[in-house]
Amino acid sequence: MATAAAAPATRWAREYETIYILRPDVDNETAEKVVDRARDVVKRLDGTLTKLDNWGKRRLAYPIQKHSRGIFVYLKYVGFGDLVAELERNLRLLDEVVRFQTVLLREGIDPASVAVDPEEVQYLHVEDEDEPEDTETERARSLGMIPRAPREDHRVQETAAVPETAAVPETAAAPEAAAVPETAAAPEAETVAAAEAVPGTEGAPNEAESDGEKPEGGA
Amino acid sequence: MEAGARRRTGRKRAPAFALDPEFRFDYKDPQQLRHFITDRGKIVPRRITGLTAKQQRNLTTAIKRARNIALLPYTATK
Repeated sequence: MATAAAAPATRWAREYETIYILRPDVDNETAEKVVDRARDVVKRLDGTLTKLDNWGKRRLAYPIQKHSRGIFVYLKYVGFGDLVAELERNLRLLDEVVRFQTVLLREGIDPASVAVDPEEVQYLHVEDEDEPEDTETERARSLGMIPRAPREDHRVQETAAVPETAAVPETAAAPEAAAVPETAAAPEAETVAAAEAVPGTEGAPNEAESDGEKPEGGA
Repeated sequence: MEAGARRRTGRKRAPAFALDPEFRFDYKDPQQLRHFITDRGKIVPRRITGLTAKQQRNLTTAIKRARNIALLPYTATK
């Protein structure tokens, strides 16, 4: 935040973190290729990669491109705004990357002061440790076969009652019977006939009819 | 209202970790954020979480980031 007081020669950098998700079926070589490309981009645009972490294959909270799992890779780097744009452009071009997100962590960093621990920027392969049994229980839970553990707090009452269903069949039946014989229109053009019936028959529309025709015309 | 007529549901008490003024929610920690979403995946309101306004804003941002990167669901079926 000391940007204004700084000497104009220093170009202040920012620290960002990017997480990208690979498709679950990519092999280790391809995953490494993606990382190398990211490394290249960071180096090319005068950035410094400070941390690289492979989180391994994880369950996604919702399916992305029909995949329920993905390989998460975490990058932390110091660089400038154009670096983020270029890195994201590269990630977008790669078909293996299904999702990515960059977050700004810190501002006003002197790029020269950034120290890198080489241990931190190694890409390590993570073996699949997830057991298929886990997916089965999760699926069963989503289908409502296993009740979730009751949580006494943070409960929000979900009112799932649908009062509209009772009203729909009544209104659907009534106006057609009333409107069609009066106008003598073709029964196929029901919505048209219902709309024309209102200005055409002045004396006819009573309470029940005008009530019923509004949802009919809207549908 | 004052004479105990108000119905108390849920709780209005911040969890212990949130009492630290330096505390920030981390979108990379879905296990912690899960305490602040409902079964449906909605963000729990402040009147129930008992967080300060600042913390709740921070929480909301964290949950939204976590949702974007598929660590938390946008919606969930019961």
